[in-house]
Amino acid sequence: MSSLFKHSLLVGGLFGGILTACGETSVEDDLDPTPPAPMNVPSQRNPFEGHPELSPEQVIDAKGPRRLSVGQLERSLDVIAGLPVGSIRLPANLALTLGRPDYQTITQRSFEPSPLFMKFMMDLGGFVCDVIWNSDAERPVSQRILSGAGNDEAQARAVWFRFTGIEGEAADASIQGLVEAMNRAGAQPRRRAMAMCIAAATSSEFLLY
Amino acid sequence: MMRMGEDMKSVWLMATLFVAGPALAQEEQCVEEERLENARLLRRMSLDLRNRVPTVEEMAAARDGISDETIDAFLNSEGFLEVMRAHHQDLLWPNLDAVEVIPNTQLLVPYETADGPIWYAPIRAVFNRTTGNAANIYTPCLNEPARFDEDGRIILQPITDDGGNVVAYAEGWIEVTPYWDPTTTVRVCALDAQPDATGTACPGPPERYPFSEPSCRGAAAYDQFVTEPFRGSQVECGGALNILAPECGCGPNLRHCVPLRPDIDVFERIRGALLEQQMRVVDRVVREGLPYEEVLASTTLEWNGPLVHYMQWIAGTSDQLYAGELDGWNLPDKAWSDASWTPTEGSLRSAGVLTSPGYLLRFAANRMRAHRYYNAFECRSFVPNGPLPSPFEACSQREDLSERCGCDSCHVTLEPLAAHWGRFMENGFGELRSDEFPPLFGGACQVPIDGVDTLSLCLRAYNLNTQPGTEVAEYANLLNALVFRDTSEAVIVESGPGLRVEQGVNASIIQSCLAERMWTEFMGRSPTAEESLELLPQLVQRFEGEGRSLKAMVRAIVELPRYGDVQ
Repeated sequence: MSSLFKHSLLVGGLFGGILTACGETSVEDDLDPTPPAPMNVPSQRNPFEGHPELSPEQVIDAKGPRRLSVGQLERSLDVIAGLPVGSIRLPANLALTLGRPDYQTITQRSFEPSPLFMKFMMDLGGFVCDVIWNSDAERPVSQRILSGAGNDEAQARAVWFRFTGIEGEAADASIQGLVEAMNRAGAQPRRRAMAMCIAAATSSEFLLY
Repeated sequence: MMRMGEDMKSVWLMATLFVAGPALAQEEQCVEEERLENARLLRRMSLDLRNRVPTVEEMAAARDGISDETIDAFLNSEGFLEVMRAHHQDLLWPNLDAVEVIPNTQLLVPYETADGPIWYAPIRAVFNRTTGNAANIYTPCLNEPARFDEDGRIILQPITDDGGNVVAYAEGWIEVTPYWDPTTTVRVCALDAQPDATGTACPGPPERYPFSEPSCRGAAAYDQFVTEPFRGSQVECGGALNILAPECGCGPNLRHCVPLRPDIDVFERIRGALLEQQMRVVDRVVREGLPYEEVLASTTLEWNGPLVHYMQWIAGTSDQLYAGELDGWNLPDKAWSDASWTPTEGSLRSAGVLTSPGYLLRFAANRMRAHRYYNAFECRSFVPNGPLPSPFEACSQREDLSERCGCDSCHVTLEPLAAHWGRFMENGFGELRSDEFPPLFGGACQVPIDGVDTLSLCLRAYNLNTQPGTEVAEYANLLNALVFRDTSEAVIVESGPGLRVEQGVNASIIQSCLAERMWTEFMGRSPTAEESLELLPQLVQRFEGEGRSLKAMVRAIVELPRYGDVQ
């Protein structure tokens, strides 16, 4: 089994488990009372396995990676979805959970890509992508975000560039993954577009910078 | 609402399977650094400087390079103000949830009836209606129009329990046009709606006002120090003693009170304005390119209608929170409904956010005020030099914390630092003006004192401990801020926080701290030792060379080659 496939299983399994429990539930509604079926989640491999040796003297002087803040996420999704500024605004209590401080109990913004944040991004990604898909229906074909590019690869490249700014050869591997996600979603255009969009919205290339 | 149907669950799973791929692909090269492509670099800059990703068109236009004009546009955007706000919120911790901004005596709540709500002040009900035998001491008024005698006084009706005992006296309601919505009228219990400017304190008899009586007795105990006996004296209905005067209510148009109901946002607007005022100081410095230290030293504050209303009519009603003399704030003339912000010049002791009402309320004690400043703007921390020694050791008995062993390592710095706020009342935001509160007990505190409320301030502002054998007695009758300070330090108290800021700028402490904070904000990590020694001084130099402009420092950071590198 290739390491890529093993890793995919792990992430898919973890998130698949979360989705089974919560996928049908809005953040504001009751949870589904039916317990999810047990899942066979592979044990996590050693994260340092295969990592190149790090010299103690080695100093990384590049900018450190950072997760989008809650404010950046709100504003950025407005831009990506082509919505008026301020359209996406998270409830205060949810924003607190995701790292916006209240300056009483929490006094610093959090930029950690925590599992909770990733779970939330999957919910929010689905929500935003749905909004984009529905808004696309009102737009001329040439201005659509999730469709209208001609073929799957061109569409994936357009969406990937919109979300991450990555293009050309640097995007090749990701584009392949996006197209694969579309293909696994089936033939229905909406399902294919949503798979591509959610994949982009939950990618580390979008969420970290 | 976020909801996903069954058919989309599998789509989701397909999408998430995607996530792992690129991360793994980068694994083999995770410690290498390379330069970002221009579009990607623009995205990084846009997120850092505008708080959002760029549009597709902006990224496409940046393929050949990012122009100076683009960076200028980012730095001049509203998004950059948001970024700087967020940064300064992390420094100033703006939250007033735990502060009694509105005295509970001034809160109005709706009492629901079949004819709609009647507003009443529950705490005032305890003091003005209840006689002490009631099962419910928060007795509201009657659901009927108020009646008045021929002298215009409200007619009160006795309320009895099952045994015929009078447990309260209640009145009817009157219609009032509230300040928060002049287009309507609300029904308010007549005692709570009284518009009088002054009222008679503790008119008695004690059995009629049993809940006021302990406070009346306490205030009357100081009669020998004030110009007239407290009982029967006239007190301001907009002042801290109004609750002891049954003739005092919420004032004309209910101006001294705040309604509590989810659909009426008076409370939130006041609290929000106190926090917004601080952020507007930051906005102004950034937008106008003023020297950065103006955030900490400016005498200009902006005011909107709700904040002006709060300062004029509500803040003074608290007996806990000293709001100071209004003329010191130089408030603009604004109605409650005026949401615009107007700048005015405050007193010479004003020091930007550091003496803004919101900051002083958030950090109630001078040590808290100083500590936050010290950490946020001088990048310094207080670190104990070890465990506390035995409390029985002689040095543990020292009253001066800067001399007490175990405490001294921090307090030797903190005590004189806190003295910079010595002329701003703790538990409040009012300035203790030199003419009213001179260094030595006197001024407005000269006996006989003009009223118990002023006497209360004097007791809070001065050290009146003369107990022989105590260290603090050596500083008897001095302003609290001068206790344990030597004479050379008096200038600290008189100058305010602005003096510390000036010294910090002269010593380049504030600039260096700012460089470190901006570096961490925009580089996403702390500077290395080498960067602290070599790069940060260069940032400070450029900052100084461009009028201590925050934008200049930020620009210098994002133009560094390493800002565009990726690990």
